[in-house]
Amino acid sequence: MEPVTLEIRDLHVNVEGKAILKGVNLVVKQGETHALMGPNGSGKSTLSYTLMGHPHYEVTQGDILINGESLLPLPPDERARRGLFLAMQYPVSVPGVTLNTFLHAATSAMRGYSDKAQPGARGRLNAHLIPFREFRKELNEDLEKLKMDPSFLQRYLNEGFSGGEKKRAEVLQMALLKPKFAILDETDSGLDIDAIRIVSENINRLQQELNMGILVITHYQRLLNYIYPQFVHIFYDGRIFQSGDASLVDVLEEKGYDWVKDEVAALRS
Amino acid sequence: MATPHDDLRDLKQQQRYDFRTEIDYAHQSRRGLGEDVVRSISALKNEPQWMLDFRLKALDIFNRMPMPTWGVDLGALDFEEFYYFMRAAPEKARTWDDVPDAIKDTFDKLGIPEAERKFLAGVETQMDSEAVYSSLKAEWERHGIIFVDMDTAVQKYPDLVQKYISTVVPIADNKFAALNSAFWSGGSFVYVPAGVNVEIPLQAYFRINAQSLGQFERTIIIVENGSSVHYIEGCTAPQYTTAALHTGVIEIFVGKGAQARYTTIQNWSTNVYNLVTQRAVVEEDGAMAWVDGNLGCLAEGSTVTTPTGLRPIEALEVGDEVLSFDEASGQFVFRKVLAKRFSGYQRVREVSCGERRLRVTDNHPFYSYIYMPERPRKLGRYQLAYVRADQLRQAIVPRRSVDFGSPCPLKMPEVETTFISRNQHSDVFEATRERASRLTLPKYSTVDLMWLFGLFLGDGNIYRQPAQNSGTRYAKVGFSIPRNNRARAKLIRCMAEIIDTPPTERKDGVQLTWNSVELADLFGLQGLEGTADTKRIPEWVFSTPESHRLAFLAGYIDADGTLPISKRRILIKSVNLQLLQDVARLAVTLGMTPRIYTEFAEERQVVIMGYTTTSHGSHKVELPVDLRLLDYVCEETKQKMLLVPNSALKQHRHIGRSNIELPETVEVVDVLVGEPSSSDVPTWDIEVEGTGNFVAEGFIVHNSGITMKYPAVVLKGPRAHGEILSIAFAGDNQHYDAGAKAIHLAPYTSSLITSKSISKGNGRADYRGLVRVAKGAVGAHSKVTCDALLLDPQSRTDTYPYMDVNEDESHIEHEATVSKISEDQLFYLMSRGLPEKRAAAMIVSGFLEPFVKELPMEYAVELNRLIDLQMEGSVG
Repeated sequence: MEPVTLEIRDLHVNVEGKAILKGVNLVVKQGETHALMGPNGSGKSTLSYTLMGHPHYEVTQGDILINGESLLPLPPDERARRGLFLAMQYPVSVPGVTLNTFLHAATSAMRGYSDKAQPGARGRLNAHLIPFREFRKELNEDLEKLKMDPSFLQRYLNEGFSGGEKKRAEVLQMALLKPKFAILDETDSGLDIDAIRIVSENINRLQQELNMGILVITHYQRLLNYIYPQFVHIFYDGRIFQSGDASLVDVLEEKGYDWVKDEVAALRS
Repeated sequence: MATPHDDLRDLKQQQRYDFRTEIDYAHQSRRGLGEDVVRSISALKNEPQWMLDFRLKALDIFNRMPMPTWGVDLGALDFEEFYYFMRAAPEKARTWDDVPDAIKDTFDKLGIPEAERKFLAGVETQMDSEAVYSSLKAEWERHGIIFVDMDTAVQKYPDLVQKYISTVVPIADNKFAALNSAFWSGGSFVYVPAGVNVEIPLQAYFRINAQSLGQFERTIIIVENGSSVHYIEGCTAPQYTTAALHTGVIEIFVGKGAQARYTTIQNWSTNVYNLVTQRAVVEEDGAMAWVDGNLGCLAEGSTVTTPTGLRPIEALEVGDEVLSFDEASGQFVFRKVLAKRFSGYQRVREVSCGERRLRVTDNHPFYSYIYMPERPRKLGRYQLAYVRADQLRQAIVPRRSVDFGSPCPLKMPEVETTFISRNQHSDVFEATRERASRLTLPKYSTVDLMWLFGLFLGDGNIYRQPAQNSGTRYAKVGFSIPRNNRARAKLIRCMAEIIDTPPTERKDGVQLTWNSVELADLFGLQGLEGTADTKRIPEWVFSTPESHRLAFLAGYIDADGTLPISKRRILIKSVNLQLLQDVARLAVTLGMTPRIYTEFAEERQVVIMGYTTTSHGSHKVELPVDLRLLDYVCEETKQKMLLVPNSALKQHRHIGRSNIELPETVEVVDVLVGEPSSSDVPTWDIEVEGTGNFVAEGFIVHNSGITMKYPAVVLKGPRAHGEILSIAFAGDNQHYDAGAKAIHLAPYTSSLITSKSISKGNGRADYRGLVRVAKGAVGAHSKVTCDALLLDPQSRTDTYPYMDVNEDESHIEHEATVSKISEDQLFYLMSRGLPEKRAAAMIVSGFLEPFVKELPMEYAVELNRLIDLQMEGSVG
């Protein structure tokens, strides 16, 4: 069977009328790990939000396709159902909604539970949710793997979470939603060494289990010591400047982003 | 010719007739207030003298009190317009089948158990939980707890009731408290003796034999020193009631060191004015908590479309059907009226589009759309919505007619002649003779007959020669229809169907005449007879099926209409303005937008074909070229209509520059909104099941309504504590004015007021609160927090905190926040696979979490479901 592909084709994106992405081309196949590295302000986060369909970002040209189907007309929830997952750099808090409630609802929505999906369930309370026991069993297993305390579930979503807790919660969601493609946006920021290890172990495990395609978006090399990319892309000024294999990470580590800046300046002049 | 269908129709007509006459006021008291009404309530309940005296005293006070000035303006309320007592019998006789489907459906969606549903819907039933109830009851009795309905309390515990009633809320506290005192019925009486903790919450619906929530509920709760109780009134399900005015009084006494909590969640589906006085007095070290939830929906209007044609709103009764637009399917359907009320004398504006004219109050919502320039283009900046009359520019109006009504039974001309005769045997006697009828008439109106009637309206005339004594000697029915007239052939054909003789033609060929008294009577009895000045469209025409109305209009167009191609509209001129208004009204029922112009209104001399004559003004009505007329007009008119280019027939189905396309049944039109009227006029509201909208004078309009509630705590003893937690969810076009009052009378008293409100779809939820600290209440502490959540830019919230602090050594805090659902929160939840509506509902539930946490489990679950439904817009 052909592996599923996520294809970004000549993507141009404006934010408040200003061009941020200026023609991004990238193909990620299921099972592959790509790293997108770039300096601050190069448009990395714009790319991740655009992929997921944040309404703030206006696509002016190009396309995003999963297996040939364009995602552009789809709202974020439909994109999620096509298998896209974005682990956010700054997950927002939703006061009053417990992590448990949220995970239950999201997982159920992703797996097609709804009043319609279950004939005869009309009128039954919570017919749109996965039966609680079934869900709780799966959830507990995932919690254990992430070394999270079950009491965590009763806290409000991202409300007062530490940096590490937020990122663990993101990976927990990834585990439950089982995406085909995961975009990890600066997932290492705010993590201490132990947390990085647990988070990345779980991501690697999930990649094995689900055969996910992964796009790691990062500023530093640090996370790439745990999640090994087969492909590395250097991102600068809204475009991919150079692509290569894992060795490119070392080049970048050695020379820094100033090198990229100089190269681009040289090319332009 | 009679067919089985005719008999069926006969039966249908008969039933409709019965239905209408049955609805009268037999089961209600007369409208308005009076001593007789008070006395009859008291007598019916077999009350002791002291209670009657109490009621009469309250009535006297009520009559002398001014309207309250706190809260929203209630100047429009006219007490004489309401019914103050509805006998319980018809309510209880109601069966489950009578409960409107909309309500059943809501119960279904809420997942409310069957037994509770029936109770809530007002259907008397034995509760499944009776066994549970009995054991609880025994438990209560063992501890000396009294939990009965107020009527029982008056009979069984007169001393307690007399001692406490109206001591927390005096009769003269406000006009509505006085009203309640005079007319109260229903409510609970709770007494908890000293030192008893009631662990299981007392729930109003346990009182299975008690009246359900009354129109004028009276509740007294007494918690003696050191005791505690949690009382729960109401439920998340919509209250199914037909009463238009609700004023409750709830009095709570919290003894020294005692604790009481009172929880209400009300989802009023129909009540219009909900004016409740809730107050607690708290003694030393006592604590009182009000937990108060308000959710719901309401209506208002002026003239509506029913299956029997246009009907003034005041002539509607609950249970009648009105035309309503189903937004989901894009079709017009008939829906039941769930409630109706008089909403007082108010200023109105006229909203019009041609002869679609509707007079409404400023805040009345019309089906239209909104434009949100700040939204990202991708999400769409246009959105279908209900817009207030005073902000309306364009409206979405019906373009089709629902095929309502049924063929009208024709009034048959007499075929018997009564005459005075004499013969050789007796002197003078009355004889009857039956003539053989010359007419062949169907029992009911037909399309051809309707066309004929329409033609007659324009070109027909009747000449009657009176008989010697009375009646008609002979009569002739003429049509001014020259030989080359387009309608002549169809006229002759249609007449040949019903009368056996051919017409005679006047010498100049301009007039065709049928001599027949019977034929003249046929037109006369159907209400068509008259001169050019006096002819009107008879009312019955408005209640015929669409095809009949079209045929009638086609007939009139064939007679008097012209089709100047350049204008691309049908013009009909007449001196009879009233007739043209009727024609316009008929066209509106068919979903057309007619316009009337007056060329000159004064009399003047004109020369027609060489004759000088007086013309009494001239008016014209313009109708769109509607292709539905093609089937009914005569051949020549039809050919002319087909010449009108398609571009002129195009309907406007696009909203602004968006890609929102409306269904074919409706059209976007520009409207004119007039200035407010200089005087106040009577206004009426109805509430319709389903989406709640209804069609009035060719517009699609929605409901609107008001709820006011301010639970109060009076902190009387030192260190007494009061907490008030309230939520309000103002859905589409609702107006909530809710809040709290805390009165600190003693030192070191404390109060905590938390108000949460959510507004959506033009809804408005206001907080209005009062904190008063009396001189000497040293160290009093009060904190007021108001959080408002607006779900869209059309919604609104206002905060009116009033502080009256007379003691320097006290501390008052007030915080207010208004938030909108953040785009980032929505994006985050949606990126995890939750559809937009579910994501928004989740954020709203989170916002209400502090409130929901205070509720018993089953209510919390129901409330969350209700929020989901509110967000989907499918409740009410």
